[in-house]
Amino acid sequence: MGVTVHDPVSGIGGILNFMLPDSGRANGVNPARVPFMFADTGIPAFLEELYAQGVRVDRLKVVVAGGAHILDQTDAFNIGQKNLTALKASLDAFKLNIYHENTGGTNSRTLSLEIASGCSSIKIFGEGEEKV
Amino acid sequence: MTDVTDIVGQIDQLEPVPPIAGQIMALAEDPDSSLSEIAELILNDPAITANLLKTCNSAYFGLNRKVDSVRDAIGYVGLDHIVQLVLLNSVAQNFKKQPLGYGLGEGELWRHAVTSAHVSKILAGKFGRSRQRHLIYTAALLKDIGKLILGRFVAFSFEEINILVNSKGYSFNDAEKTVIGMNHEELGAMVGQKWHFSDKLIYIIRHHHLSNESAREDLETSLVYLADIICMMMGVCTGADGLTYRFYSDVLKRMGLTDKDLQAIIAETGENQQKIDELLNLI
Repeated sequence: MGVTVHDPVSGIGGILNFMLPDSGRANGVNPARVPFMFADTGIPAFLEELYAQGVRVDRLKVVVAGGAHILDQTDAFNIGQKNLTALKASLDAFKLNIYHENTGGTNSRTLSLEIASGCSSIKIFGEGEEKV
Repeated sequence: MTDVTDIVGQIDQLEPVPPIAGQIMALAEDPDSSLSEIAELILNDPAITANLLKTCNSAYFGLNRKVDSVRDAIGYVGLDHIVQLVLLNSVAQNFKKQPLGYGLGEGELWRHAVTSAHVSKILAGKFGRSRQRHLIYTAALLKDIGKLILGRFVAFSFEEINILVNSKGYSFNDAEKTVIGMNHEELGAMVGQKWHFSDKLIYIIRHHHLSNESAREDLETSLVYLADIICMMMGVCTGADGLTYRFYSDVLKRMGLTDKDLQAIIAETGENQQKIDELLNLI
């Protein structure tokens, strides 16, 4: 699951790629070592790092891509969906709105952020590129 | 539809897997074999011996002394690692190539292969298949070998395949079969036959997406399938086929695997990804 955030005034932004919704379900893996792998530990750590650099919450542009699932991947096993739900809950807690999202389905996506312009790009093979 | 004999004829363009790969698997699984037999087998292949020593002396293993013989290497890094390094060295040349058609960048098929082999090794241990761990590791490593040849036909027919997948709910391998007349599982199995892989290895390659119902009953094939879908969920070098394969929750349920277990395996793999990437670059 990918998230980009960008503050157009300060020109500061960042990109986060996490894999799982909940560090509490990662048997044997210490989330303190790999906080950015999980939504619940990664998103706060990511945002706090950006806040420390002076970004302002009310100016942040948030773009979200990913959360795909395998064909017939049912509710309990649908980790992509769980990632998206966890991401949204975490963004809500920080009072952040999503500016644009390209999520779900079975496509894999490549997300990137051009830091100078604040433009995010979401590429899907065979379907071209979306720039926001 | 493409002429299937055209496709099969191109198997010869691959770099054959050297016999040492099959021989070392057989020796590693044979309780009567000795370490010196295995060392001797490796020494017969100078290129693999050289790469093995280089890898064992790299920061990846972090040994505090220099290893200068195959016997030492086995002693210091362990037989399991040595067998895996020989297997990786045996297939690397093919997998480092960039296949057409699947939207994969340079080295991405290789990264996917090695990561799923790593996951399959974790799974083999968890599901009491430690004895077959080298077979399962090899099968996970080689499962997509058919893509190396089928890719150019996929590239040619991509739009047709994409329509079946996006509008008609086909899985990517079913769409390959319908449009091209053959999918990468079947072609991979043919490569295995041509190169005299064991029947079981060919079977796993042939059914690693579990379209065939009886394959879903086979634990080794299911473990390789699971390793593959875990890599898909992690987004490890997923290409144009993305996640368009079938998920069989009944297979996971029968194996007693919950979504929490699945998340734990993904976390364990994610934590090791840097280490896996280091290894990729050494081979």
